This record gives sequence, structure tokens and C-alpha cells, in this order.
Amino acid sequence: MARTRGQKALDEAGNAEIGGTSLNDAPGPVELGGASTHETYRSEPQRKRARVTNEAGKSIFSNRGRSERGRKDLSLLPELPLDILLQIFLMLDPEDLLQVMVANKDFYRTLARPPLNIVWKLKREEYNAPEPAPGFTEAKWMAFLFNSECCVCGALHAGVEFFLLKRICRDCRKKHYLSREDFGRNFPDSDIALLDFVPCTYYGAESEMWGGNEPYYWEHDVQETETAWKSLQKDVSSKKRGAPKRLEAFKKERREFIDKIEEAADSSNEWASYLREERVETIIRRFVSLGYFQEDVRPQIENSRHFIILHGSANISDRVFETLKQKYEKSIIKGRDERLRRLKIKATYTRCNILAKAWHSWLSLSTAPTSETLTYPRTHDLFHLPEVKAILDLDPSISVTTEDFQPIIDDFPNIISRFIAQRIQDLTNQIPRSNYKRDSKPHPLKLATSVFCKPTNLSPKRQHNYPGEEGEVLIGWDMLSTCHFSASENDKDVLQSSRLPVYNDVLSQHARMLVEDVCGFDTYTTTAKQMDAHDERFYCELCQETNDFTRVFGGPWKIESFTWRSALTHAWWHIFAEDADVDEESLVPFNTLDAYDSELRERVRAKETQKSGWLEALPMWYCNHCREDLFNDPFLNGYEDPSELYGQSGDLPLILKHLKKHHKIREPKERVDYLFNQMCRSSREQRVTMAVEEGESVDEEEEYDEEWYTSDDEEKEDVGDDEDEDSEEDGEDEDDEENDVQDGEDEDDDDASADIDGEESGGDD
Amino acid sequence: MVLLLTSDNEMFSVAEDVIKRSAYIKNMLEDVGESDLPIPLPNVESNVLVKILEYCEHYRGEPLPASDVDPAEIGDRSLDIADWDQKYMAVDQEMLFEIILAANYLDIKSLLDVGCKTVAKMMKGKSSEEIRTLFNIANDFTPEEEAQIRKENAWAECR
Repeated sequence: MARTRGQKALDEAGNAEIGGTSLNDAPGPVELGGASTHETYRSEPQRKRARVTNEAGKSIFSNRGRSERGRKDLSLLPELPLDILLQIFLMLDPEDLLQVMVANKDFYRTLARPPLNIVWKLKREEYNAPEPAPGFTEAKWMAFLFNSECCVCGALHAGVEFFLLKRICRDCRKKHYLSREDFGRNFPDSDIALLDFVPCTYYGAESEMWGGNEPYYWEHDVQETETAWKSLQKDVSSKKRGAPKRLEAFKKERREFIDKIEEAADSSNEWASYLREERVETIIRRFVSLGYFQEDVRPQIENSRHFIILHGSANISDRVFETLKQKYEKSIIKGRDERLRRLKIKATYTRCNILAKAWHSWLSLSTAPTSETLTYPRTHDLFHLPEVKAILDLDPSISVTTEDFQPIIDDFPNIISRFIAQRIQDLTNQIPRSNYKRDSKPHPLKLATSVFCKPTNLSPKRQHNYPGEEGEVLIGWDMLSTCHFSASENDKDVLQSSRLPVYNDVLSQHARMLVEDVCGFDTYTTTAKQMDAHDERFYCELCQETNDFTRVFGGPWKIESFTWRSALTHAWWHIFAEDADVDEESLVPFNTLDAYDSELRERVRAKETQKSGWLEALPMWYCNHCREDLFNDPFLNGYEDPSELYGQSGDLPLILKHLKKHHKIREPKERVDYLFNQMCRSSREQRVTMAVEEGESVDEEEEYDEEWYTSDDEEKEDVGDDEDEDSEEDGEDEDDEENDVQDGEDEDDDDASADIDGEESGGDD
Repeated sequence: MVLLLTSDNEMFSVAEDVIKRSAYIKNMLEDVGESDLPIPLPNVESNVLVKILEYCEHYRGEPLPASDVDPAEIGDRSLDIADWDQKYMAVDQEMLFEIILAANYLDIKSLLDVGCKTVAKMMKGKSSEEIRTLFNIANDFTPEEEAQIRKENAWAECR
């Protein structure tokens, strides 16, 4: 017969006789808790066989419906030869054994009594568990170590307290722990000295893991000790014979008991801590076996203070793991997704950086003037190209170099053309067909009546940094081609994407009113540039009614002067602002300042021509010969929002100094040598508030807010002339040669821009 | 060939290198020498022997475990069971019980080990109630006894 491990264990335990012992006559459950005094199993013949009868010859499992047919099943397990049983039991974890033991009396007797109760000692040794504490049998000790019920309330997964030799849940600790102070309150008649003979712990109710300085006593232990103590004291007081000796013996016994507990508790706690670590590692391994990465699982499990994780051995049953899985899988997946997202973001930025550097390197070698490069895609626009996306979306583990982007870099000229063409198409498509004539010349995007607003869904950061005011209008190709906006589709987007200006039909109707009704021009042919050149000033009749009314009541008599662009922004406020006072169906009435008071216009102009110091200090100007400032790319500088790219133009003195120093240009000219940043147009063209009568003053606050229109920097056009005749300007320091270059639209040699200009030129023919 | 006579009087003729996986038969053959007499197996029924021989046949040619080494002692405390063994052990509880007994009787250590592991695996992670259901056993503790056990040992019913 096979000599199993179980057989050897039994031999070692001094049970050489391993015949079929009937355990049916074994004592009941009480055995488990006490010392084994009934080690009376009988030896039977050596031959091992299934034991299906008791001494009376009756089946001990007759209630399981198998005996009549002689059927055997695993309910007969306790009847297996002991060494086989032991072999099976040794394969089980203590927690499993404890469950088997209480399945029924047969199993209970089998495991509680010799010879098979040796399994508990073997299991303890296998788990390197501490020796049983005083008063514990091996089985009870293992139950104490490996069961999880609170000894008071039965709550599961209660922590073990080796200093008190109890398994107690947190709630019961709170309820039944006594401090020395509590003792004084709860046992006012008792001598606090008796606490020296009560086990105590330094781990508080709330901090099972970290000990402190204050001792805590178990209420019931104190009560028991107090009862014994009082009884002995009483005997001593009544001078009973031997009483003092008994008291001393009691003290000695208790002290020894407590010393033993305390001696073992530290190492037991160490063992429990090791067990906990093992349990945590096992849980982590189980999750890893499901395909999760340790780095995602470990933080979730290790940082958990959940009792299922903290208490118990490394033997994680499927049931427990299922519970843990339900509890932690979501957070593990979330953690994993977040980790992968971070990896992806990092890889994406690294890759974007490679392309951004290549893009700027390419730009730096380009001979195109800044006026042209401002129409190029922003760096972040490149990131959204399908061919670039394909590289950015590669697995983060794949190394990407400049070489991978080389085909894209080589295709930059075509990418730029396609970008501009697409922009023209997308913007044009927004304009209602009725707003321009078939084969419109000039191009609809150049018309003064094609009014766009900046997109509204920009990121707050972008909104904050953008110099324009709310309701700012974008009119004409100069603005539409060089004002770039961007935002994220949603919070999780790594990269910004472009936002196109949005066509505004209501404001376009207002523009038609200004162009046709107020200025008397043709709405189908008048361009934004022509309206700029016309350089008219307007006032809002609606507001002026109020201003005039204010004067009647003794207030300052003032008037607000607008350029045609700022007039449209003003109309936006009347119609779309939170405190709008005009509905979308109506027009905000405007008239020329001349019509109100021709002298006023001259005063406005005089005021406008005064240069404001801070206006000059605004980054409104670009050098047209180099793109030094363009390379101040926030993306390359580590900012998260690449949309700020190209927004870093300089103040005028800086640009002029730069032109003189680096380009040796004595008298730099606008549009030839330097450019106005169209993104700043609204700041430049804000309304001017004037006192209607000279000598009067308007509110200081309003004066402070005023912007100054630098009319000497703007070209003048004859509205009725063709665009090509724009070069005949009345600017004081401009000549024909300058105008050829200044008018970027006319000189634009970019394919897509040429499309717009070509149409316009076609009109000239 | 070795003749085996089962408890239900069925005779089996088995190749020696197959049945030698049984240390019991192997020792007997070595002790008795060649004989035409069948070896009686009074504790093994024919249907069980068929199953046992299927195992021996499958592992025919595999090296026999050293006689003094117990597989359970080698340290294989895990309940991992080879795929083929798992399929082999996918039998009803009665047959599983008989295989374990027969493997013990015939001293086929590896088979006994697989049998024990199979039973242990069935028990692992189960609550006492689930064990009762699995093994078709009644809870014969009186409520008082059960309460006493709980009180004394703080037994966990649910893990």
C-alpha cells in the first residue's frame, strides 16, 4: 500500500497503528476547545479499506441514501484510511480545514481528535505560525489565527489582537476597550493595581496597525480579574486560612500568563504582518494572472485598508477573490487606463515635439515673408493631419524619430496649400449663397458684408489670453487667414485643434446696412479693406438717444464713436450680450459721426491720433522679414496649449528696433517691413467716447478704457476702385512700391490665397 | 503478461510494464517471479480496475517514481493537476472514491496523489454549507452544538 505523507506524519506523531479507526464514538465539539483528553482511538487491522460501518455494523452514513445500493461517495471521506485523509487535509489551507471540520460531526471528530488532529500542528508549522498561546489547543489556535469572525459580534474579517488573545472587530474594540482612565470611571471601587494582572494592548481601537503608549484592557478581562481579585481580597480581609498565599499565587499566575502573552505577541504580530504581506502579494498575483499589470494592481491593493485585504492568510479562495475583484477591478482598470493615458500623452508630446521642431526648422529656412507664414497652419494643426495622427497614435512603446516624419516634412509645401485651401472652403461655405453674386469678385471672404465672429468654444485659458473682446468681428481675408483659434474637443484631448471663425448673419446684415444704407456703397463688391480705407466713424443712434436723454437731466453729454468694425461689435453687444436690448430680427441703427456733428469727427480723429503708450506696448506687430517671434512656440517651451503659437508678436518699438538692428532698415514701413497682428485689431479699434461739447469731459473711467485708432498706419482706398488700385493710398509715408508688398492679398503667391486674389484680379480684367 | 483477478471475478491480462506502475504488483512479481496464476485483487472491482489500467496505460513508459519518495512529500503542495489527469478524474464521486482506494491498495503513488488533490480541490474555498451540499452530507450538529462551536472558536461561515 502507498505510504503517503500522511502516513509518515502519523508515524511521526506516534500513531503507527493506522488502521480503520471508527471515530463515531468520539466526544463532541467541546473537544476542540480543550486539551485532548480522549485520545482513545482504537487500532484496527493494518489493511486499509473504506470504513462504512461502525462497531454495531451499521452504516454511520445511513441517512445519505447510498447504503442500500452499496453506493459510495465522498460523504464517506471520514471513512478513508487515515493516512489518505491526512494527505488530503494537508493539501488544504487552514481556512478550508476549518470549514471542513464544521461540516458535520464526522468531519469534526476526525479533525478534532487524535490521530488526525496532528494536521493542525503540521499546518501551523507549514505556515510558520507562532506556538499556541497558553490555554489554546493546536486546533483552537489555528482557528484563532485563521478564522475571521469577531469573538464578540461575529462580524467577519475582524483583526486578531495577540496581546489580548482575541479576534475583535473595530466596533467591538471601540465598545469594549478600557483605558486606565475608563477603569477609574467604570470600576470606582476597585484598586487600579489589579490592572497589572490583566492583559493589555497598546494598539488602540482605531489603529490596529500602529501601537501607541496608552494601554487598553478588554472590559470582560477586567471584570473577570476584578471578581477574582475581590474574592481573594475578601478572603484575605476575613483572614481565611491560606488566603494571602492564594492571592499571591493568583498574582504570580496572572503575571506569568501575561508575561507569556506579551513575550509571544510581538513575534506573533510580526508573523501576522508577514502573512498580510503574503496575502497582499497573492491578491496581486491573482489579478496579474487575469492579465492586469502589477503596476496597476499594486497601488490599489497595497494602499487599501479594506479588512478583506488586511486580514487572513495568503490562501485566497475564489469566493474572496471574486469579492475583491468586484471591489477593485474597476479602480484597477481606471488606474491602468490612466497610466496608459499618461504614457500615451507623454509619447504623443514627445512625437509632437519632434514634428514641431522639424516644422520650425523648415519655417526658419523658408524665405516667405511673415505676412504669408501667418496664414500657414499652426503647429497643432499639423498634429491633426491623418498622416501625422497615424504616427502619434502608434503604441507608446514604439520609438519614433524625425525620420518617421520625413515624408510629412517633405510634403510641408503641399500641406500648407491644402490647409489654406481648406480654410477658404470651410469659411466660404458658411456664408449664405445669397450674400454674394455668382462668381463673386471680389471673393466673398473679402467682402465687408461677410462678418465672422471668433469661435465661442475656446478654452478658458485661450479666452483669457486672447486680446480681443467678446463679440469681436473678423472681416476680410487679412483677418480670417491670420487669426487662428484653437480648443480641445473635450477635457481628455491631448492636443488642441483649430476652431474656425463663425459666420454671423445678424452682424452681416448690420454690415450691409453700414455699407449700403449709411455709406452708400455696393454690398456685393465692397471689400473689408475698402471699408477700412474709407475710414468712416459711426455712432449708435440707440445709445445716443440715451446719451442725449442723460444730458437733459444734467449728465455729461457724450457720444461714442466707432469704426465700422467696432460698430459691428457694438451691435453684437446690443443683440447677443447677456443684457441684450435688441432682438435678432432688428437692426441696431448707426449713422456717421459726420451726420451728427462734422466737427466731432475731427475731434475724434485728433484724439485717435494721439498714441497711447500702452497700446504701443501691446504685442501687435510682427517683423515681416523674419519669424523670430514665431519660434517662441509655447508648445516647444513646454506649455500644454499650443494654440498660443504665433500669438507672440512684439510691441512696435521692439519691432522697429529689431528691424533697424538686424535688418539694417533705417525707416521701416508697415506691411513691407512690419505687420499689424490682426488678432489685436479689436484692441486697436475700440470705441472712443467724446464729450459732445468741447470743454466737457467724460467719466475718467471711460477715458481710461479708451483705445486709440492709429489712422496713420492704415492705408486709404477709394471704395469704388478695384482692389488692385488699393495701392494708391493716401497714407503719409507710403509709396507705390510699399503698397505692392503691403497688400498681402494682392501679392500672395500662395496657391490657395492666389485663388482668392485670382478671383479678385479676374474682376479687374 | 500479468493476470489480474478482480473482486467481481473478472480476469484481466495486462502488460507487465503497464501494471508495474503499481508498486504492490511490482513487488509481488519480484517476490513470486513469473507465474500463470492470476493475482487476486479482492479490493478492486473490474470497472475500477479498467479505470486504473487506463491511467497506467497513459503513463506507460514514464519513469516510475522512486519507491521511497512520496509525491506529496516532494513539496507539491499546490493543487495544480495536469490536464490529462483532470480529465481522467472527471468521474462521479463514487468512482473517485474507488480510484483513491484502489490507488492506495495497489500502491500507485502518483494516482493517489492526483486523487487526493482532486478531493482537496473540491473542498478548497468552500464554506461548510457548500461542503455539505457537495458531499451530500447532512448537518448533524444540534443548534446548541453549532452555537457552542461558534462561541468557542468564532468560526467563519463565510469566507
